Amino acid sequence: MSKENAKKSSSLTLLENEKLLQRIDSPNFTLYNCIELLCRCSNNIGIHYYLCQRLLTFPHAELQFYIPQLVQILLTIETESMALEDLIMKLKNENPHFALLTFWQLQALLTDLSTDPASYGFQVARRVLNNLQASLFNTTITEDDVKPTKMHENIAPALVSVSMMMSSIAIPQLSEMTKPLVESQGKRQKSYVFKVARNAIKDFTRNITLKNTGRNRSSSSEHSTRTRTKNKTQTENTFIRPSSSVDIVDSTMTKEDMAFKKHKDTEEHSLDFDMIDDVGSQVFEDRISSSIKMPKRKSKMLDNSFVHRTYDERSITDITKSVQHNPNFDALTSHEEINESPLQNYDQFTNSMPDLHRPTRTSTSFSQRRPITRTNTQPTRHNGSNSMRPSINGRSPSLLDISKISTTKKIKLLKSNYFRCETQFAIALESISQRLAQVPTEARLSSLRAELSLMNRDLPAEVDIPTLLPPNKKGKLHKLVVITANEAQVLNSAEKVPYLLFIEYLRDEFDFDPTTDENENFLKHGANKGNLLFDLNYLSNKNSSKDDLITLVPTFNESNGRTGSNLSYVVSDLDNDNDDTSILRTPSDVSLAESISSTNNNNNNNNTNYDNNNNNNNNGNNTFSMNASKEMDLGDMSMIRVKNQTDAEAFRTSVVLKSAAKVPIIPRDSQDRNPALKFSNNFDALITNKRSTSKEFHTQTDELADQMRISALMLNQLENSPQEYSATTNQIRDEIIASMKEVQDKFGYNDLEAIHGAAGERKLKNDLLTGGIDTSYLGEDWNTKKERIRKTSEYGHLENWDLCSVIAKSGDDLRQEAFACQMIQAMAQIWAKEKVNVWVKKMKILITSATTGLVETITNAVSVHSIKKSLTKKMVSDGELDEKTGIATLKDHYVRAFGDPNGFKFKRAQDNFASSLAAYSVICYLLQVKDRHNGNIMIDNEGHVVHIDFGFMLSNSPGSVGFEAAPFKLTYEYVELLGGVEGAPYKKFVNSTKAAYRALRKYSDQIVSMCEIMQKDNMQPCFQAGEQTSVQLEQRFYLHIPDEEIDDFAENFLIGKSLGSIYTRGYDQFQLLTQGIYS
Amino acid sequence: MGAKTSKLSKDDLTSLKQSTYFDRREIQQWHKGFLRDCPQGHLTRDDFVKIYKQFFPFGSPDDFANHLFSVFDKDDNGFIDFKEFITVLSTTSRGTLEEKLVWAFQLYDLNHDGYITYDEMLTVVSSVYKMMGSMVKLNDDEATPQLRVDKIFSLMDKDQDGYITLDEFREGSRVDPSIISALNLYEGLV
Repeated sequence: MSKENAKKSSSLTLLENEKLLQRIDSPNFTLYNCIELLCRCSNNIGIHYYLCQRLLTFPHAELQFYIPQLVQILLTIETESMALEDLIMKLKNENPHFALLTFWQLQALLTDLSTDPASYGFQVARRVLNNLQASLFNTTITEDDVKPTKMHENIAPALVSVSMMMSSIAIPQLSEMTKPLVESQGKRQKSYVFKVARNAIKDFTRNITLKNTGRNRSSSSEHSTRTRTKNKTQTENTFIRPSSSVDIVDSTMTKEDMAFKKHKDTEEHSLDFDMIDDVGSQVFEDRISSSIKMPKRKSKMLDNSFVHRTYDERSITDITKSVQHNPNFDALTSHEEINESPLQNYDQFTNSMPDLHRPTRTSTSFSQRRPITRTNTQPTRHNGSNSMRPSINGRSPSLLDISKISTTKKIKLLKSNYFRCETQFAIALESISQRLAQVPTEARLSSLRAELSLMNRDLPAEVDIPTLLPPNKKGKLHKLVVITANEAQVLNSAEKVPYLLFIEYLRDEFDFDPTTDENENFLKHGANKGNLLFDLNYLSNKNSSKDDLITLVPTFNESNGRTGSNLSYVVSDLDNDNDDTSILRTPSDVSLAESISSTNNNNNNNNTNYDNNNNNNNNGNNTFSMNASKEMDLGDMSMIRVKNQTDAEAFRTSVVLKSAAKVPIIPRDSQDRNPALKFSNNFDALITNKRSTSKEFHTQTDELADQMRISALMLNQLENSPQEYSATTNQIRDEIIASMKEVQDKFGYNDLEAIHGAAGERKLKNDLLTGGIDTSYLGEDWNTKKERIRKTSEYGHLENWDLCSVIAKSGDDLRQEAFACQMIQAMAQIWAKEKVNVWVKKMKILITSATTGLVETITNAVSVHSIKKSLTKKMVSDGELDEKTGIATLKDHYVRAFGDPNGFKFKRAQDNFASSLAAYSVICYLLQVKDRHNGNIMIDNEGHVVHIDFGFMLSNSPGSVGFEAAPFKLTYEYVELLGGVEGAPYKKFVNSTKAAYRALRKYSDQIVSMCEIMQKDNMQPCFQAGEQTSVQLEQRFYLHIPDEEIDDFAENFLIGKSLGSIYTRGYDQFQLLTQGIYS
Repeated sequence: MGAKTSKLSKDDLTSLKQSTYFDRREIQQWHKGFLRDCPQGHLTRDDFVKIYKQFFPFGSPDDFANHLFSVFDKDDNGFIDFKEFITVLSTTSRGTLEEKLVWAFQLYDLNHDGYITYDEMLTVVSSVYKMMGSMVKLNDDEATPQLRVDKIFSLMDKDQDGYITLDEFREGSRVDPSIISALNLYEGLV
């Protein structure tokens, strides 16, 4: 009887599945339907696979839009199916932007998940990220590319493969059809330990009440300590690896010992933690006490050997070699090879040097062959004979014979170069922001511009900005050519320093076609170029903490103790030790304190050992000796030397050192030393001395930038100097800042005329804006700005020249913003499909890690707050407004910007206002976007309203104050602008709002499920309510109200309640009082 | 039982090493995988059906899975243990064409009498058709199991006596390129 039932239910599921198949195959089946089903059908391998195949039939641009959901599904929905993972790996080959976006997205999520490394999500994220990384950045053609991988020991696919063979007599075609699925499932690597740690994450979420999740160090570290104790067992398993692992780099160990040890270890712990260190390092640095941190690193030493060895083989610089030799050479060969290319070591060195906190930094250096590998896999070099291998001059030949490289390999090289440039670019932008945070507010602008102009050294490069600059249909990518350093702006003076930068680019400028001249040329020079990209670290900031100190100490100790070591050895040691594993190399009997106290001496000794410019360096030492015992000035300086040893860099080195020597000495005993920091003099001299070629000019700018940097460092030191010298230091500080400010506008200009000319022209243009209508209070118009920049650009004459402006953010989690923008875009798509005539700005945000990202700027809009502020001021000064009685209204602005209220321009602007206000009203209501003060609402040059800043939405709102209880913000002022409640524009607004709400209701399931997918295990504050988030979202659609009544509902409830809601007004007043934001 | 299955005995390992194409390490790896996927140490008919439902959700693989199970279950005790599994896997993944065909023959020879009758062939082919549902688009001349079986018999049953012997089965398969390529399709995967 039970068998009967089973049969019945199985035929029932079959029927359902057949229906499902029909649905999937139907032309109406949308991409989103497909994604939704992926969640629901995760329990069936066959269906999951089929859905993923279906996904591939959709255009890449659409797939790219849903990357956050795809990645989220991958990590939060447990399944036996490998299909989605395979899909991602497939798409990454086909679409470089998809690859990058997925990479960054995963990286960000891995940071979240690293609180719980035993969770399913973490395991998957790490595995996929490792695979992605391996395939994006390596340049050798791995076996995966050539032949199918062997099946892992998975019974189900093995069984099916057996039966397919047997049934090939019955139907030969079936074999072929099943093969991809069998292969896909065969790749499965099961982990033996999966602890689902949802609780930990939920716990975490509950504790976050801060806006934007906050890398708020104190709170999160406190919290994670708690989580950590909770999961103590697991923590011990995973992080506190056997302390004996220290001896893995002990020189007495034989190679066999190592191999054995490693093997055993990987067997015991199938978990491999290399990625934690790479991506989650921020988390660890921030949250985990150092006692845990150290063993964590050890674990990496044990585990990563196999993974990382392959990275060595794949290094860019081995292009030359890999042409001839087998990629599967053993560790020893790879070691030799590395020793032969010291240049690369230096880069590696500098690249990861001071910024152990940074999650992305290390991961990129990872891509550039981590030095750890060498420590780990080549114990032999400790026996001296290998270390004698001379190599400092072993540079690769300058030109490559690319005819020997296969086309596949060429494409791979081009792509990996692109990925590398791209990730390094992102890191560079981030590191600038972090450095700025250490500089006094007044000096930030100059520092920013200095830093950015340094980046121009490496531009043009194969860099674009995914999402913000989408490729054209032929797959050509844009190419960034220059950062207009002089236009960059520091956005505010908070602890985190976001900044606005303008980047010139050439549209559709490059691709990965190895037959084009540019690409061929690049490949020929490829080996020499590239490693130094956007490496801004050669002068590190002083504050980079004790970690650096600790890291460096063993280096010097060890190299000192090793009498036979030659130059190259020291160098590579430095290189290795710079990485975060260096602690391991500390002789175990030397205590940390001892090491620290001996640092100074060691440094000196070492410097003299191999520093040609010894004098300079010593100067540097003295200069900075003020804090030398506490901070690693000295080490930094010596590192500069080491890194810049090559001929190519020699000049820059001397410049750096010279400038370092020039830096005013700020000794304790002398009060009358005069900081002679006259940049402007230097600068003018630079320009007037030579009417230089642009290349030379760049060098000069660099020099200036270098000096700026040093001043920034000095400022930083001054900030940290003892209290009693404050009078002197303040004076010095002011002078430095003054001289820095003096040149802040001078970066990137070729001659003085241009500087003065442009400024004058700008002023004039402002007055002439928009044909007689005076909107000068709005500042410079985007197109004007663009034309102005184009005129001074050396690429401006090119037909495909263009300019974009982006905001680089660091320290904030932008994923919630990105999610908001995605939801808004999805709604906009629905409105377009349903032909609802409303307008929204489709903002784009690029996530580059859990704490960094780039935000597209709205080029032609100004916040209502700024409009009112400057307009009020202007009207008061024009005598049109009484200072005491009034604040300028939106209507005042529209009249000024668009002319006569009865004129066409005004009417059009009013119409635009109505249609955009309708859209944003519905959006703000459905997504519960809060914090809607006028600083977050913008008006563009066509009269559209644009909402920004989605830090508070869905289930979190600012504070506990019950403001903003209205469905959305609709003030009397808006109504006034729309001609009053009886006016036609207002009626249009009402109708559009109704239509927009109605249309979204039709697709409510999609909107709700987008949220549902994302809210799972998500730490973003907007998902605070967890599962309830999407439930509440669904409630706001009032699906129980019949369609025919919904218009009335929208008008009476949504609009009516919002109209002039005292709550909204209350909130504006609150903001005016507390924040000075105009209502 | 648990103790017995958790580790492969030395004798078993040695004998498997001799009787299969796998080396010691591979056998151990597969054994580990086997235990991970089937913690009881064996597969039942139900397990078979479940696996096939995972791979063929748009058809009903029950019948086919049952036929297949019989081929695996040499001692006919209702369980497939690791040895039974690895033996078949070895032959089908690394065996010669000859060996593969011998094994395939057993799938169709339902009563193990050394002959495939028309009905036996029809039963098995029907079960395969049912398993794949509407997923594979077939030519008109093999749109139904009957048509396909007719085709197979015209290819293999040289003496037209209504049943296929092992020799006929081998010869007939060899001359059909699509069968040969399907037989070798999974080469190198395991």
